[in-house]
Amino acid sequence: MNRSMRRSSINNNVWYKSMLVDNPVYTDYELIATTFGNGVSTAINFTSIPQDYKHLQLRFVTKSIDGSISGNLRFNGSTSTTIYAVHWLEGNGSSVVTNNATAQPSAFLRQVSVTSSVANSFSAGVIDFIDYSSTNKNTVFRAFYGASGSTGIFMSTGLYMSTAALDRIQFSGQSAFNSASRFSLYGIRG
Amino acid sequence: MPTMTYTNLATVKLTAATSSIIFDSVPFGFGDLIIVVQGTTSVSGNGRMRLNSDSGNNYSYVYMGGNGTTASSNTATLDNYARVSRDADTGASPLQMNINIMDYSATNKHKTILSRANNVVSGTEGLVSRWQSTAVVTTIEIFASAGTWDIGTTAILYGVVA
Amino acid sequence: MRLIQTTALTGSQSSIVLSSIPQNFTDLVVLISARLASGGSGDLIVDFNGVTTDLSSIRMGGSGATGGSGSSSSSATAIVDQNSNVGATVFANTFGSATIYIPNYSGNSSKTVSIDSNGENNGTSASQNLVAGRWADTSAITSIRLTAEAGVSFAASTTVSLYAV
Repeated sequence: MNRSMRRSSINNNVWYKSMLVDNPVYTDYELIATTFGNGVSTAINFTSIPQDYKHLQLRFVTKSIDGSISGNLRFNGSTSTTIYAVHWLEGNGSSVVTNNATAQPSAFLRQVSVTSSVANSFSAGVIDFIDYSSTNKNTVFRAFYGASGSTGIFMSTGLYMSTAALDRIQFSGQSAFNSASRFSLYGIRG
Repeated sequence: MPTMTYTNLATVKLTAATSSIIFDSVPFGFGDLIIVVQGTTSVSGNGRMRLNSDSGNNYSYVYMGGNGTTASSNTATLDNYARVSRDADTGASPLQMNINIMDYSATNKHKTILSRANNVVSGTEGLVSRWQSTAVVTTIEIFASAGTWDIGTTAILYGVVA
Repeated sequence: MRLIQTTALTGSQSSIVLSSIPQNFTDLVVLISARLASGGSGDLIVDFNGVTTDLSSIRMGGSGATGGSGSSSSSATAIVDQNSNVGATVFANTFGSATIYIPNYSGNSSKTVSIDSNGENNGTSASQNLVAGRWADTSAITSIRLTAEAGVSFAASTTVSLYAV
């Protein structure tokens, strides 16, 4: 289906419709899977992640059912109590602060939801896993995310102290994510 | 036929100065929209966005940024535009904005806008804005706090399948 | 989004050059997983077409310190991303990452660069950086050079992927 747009409302400008027509199709950025919260489970899982990409990107738009705001990532089903570390940079509306959590059982995400008082407001973010399938590197991720109407804007980075190829990602909250919460995982070829 | 996950929907390159760059009739059916803007304005100012021509006080934001000396954060509610660039001085040095409108077609969410904005004169920033509407985004207006976008300014709209 | 080239180091190397960049796309994206071969502050330096003039940048970031504050710095002579790599002495098998976005790379106007990057380790200090860069040159970008700070090399297994959009 050609998703080209109609004319943009601008005069005296060069504008282009969709570049799809007659162009070769490049698919080096591919959707692996999309999943949604269900209002019951505190976690969603991406399992059996294909290993033939070079990088992964996870895009999320999330809200908990009860206003609890933090979340966690776990990889490859690991529940070892000291195998994760995170560091973050946070803009809270008045200052830029930093913090960390080392030797943890999961990788902490500061805000993956918004307090209940702000109806229909979600947290959103993009998480990058560069060279995720390498077996001589620990898993490292970088997340850019936040929500207006609640705490702030964040860049969080995390370490999973294992060189195993990343084949499972669990994204959890303090409580269940509502059914409108969306998680999409993409593979980038390299 | 392979599926295009990351699709160029429209490209604008200004051949005349204009106060607003507008993408209308945004197609339905993607998950997120990404807009990459690069350009200068006739006077210094920051980058702003309105969705579906809503100029009511329905936007809020939080940002963190650095100007080369100091890191700072600020927030505002009930603005009549989304902030997509807080302190970027667009003067003569190009402003670059990479903007994500997340879940733009969801009718059960306010729209969250994540933005990275850069200008080597005034700073680098990360921002999150919220448009307090559950309407599907069909029109995107990008404008500056002052002046007009200069000739040569570009804006590209991408759709990301979800 | 199309993969243009991937480089994976098999030994240490002071710089990585992405050359012969095709000119028929709009933007470039570079994804980096990098580590230093020996100790250092971990700066990542970016320049284009072998030219080291007309470069500048502003950085904002943090060290991840408990109860710390963000900081900001600038360079009038380089596009430099401070501490984006992980020094060899910090934590084994751990590589920093960076994403570089360059719009309108083949155009005839000044070039802007956006960099998001991080290091990581199991200690209290690891960097998160946001960087604005500019190359005030109207030439089309045909090559990108990534350099570790002076006197330090990238370690083996450092990988760089170049994409065009």
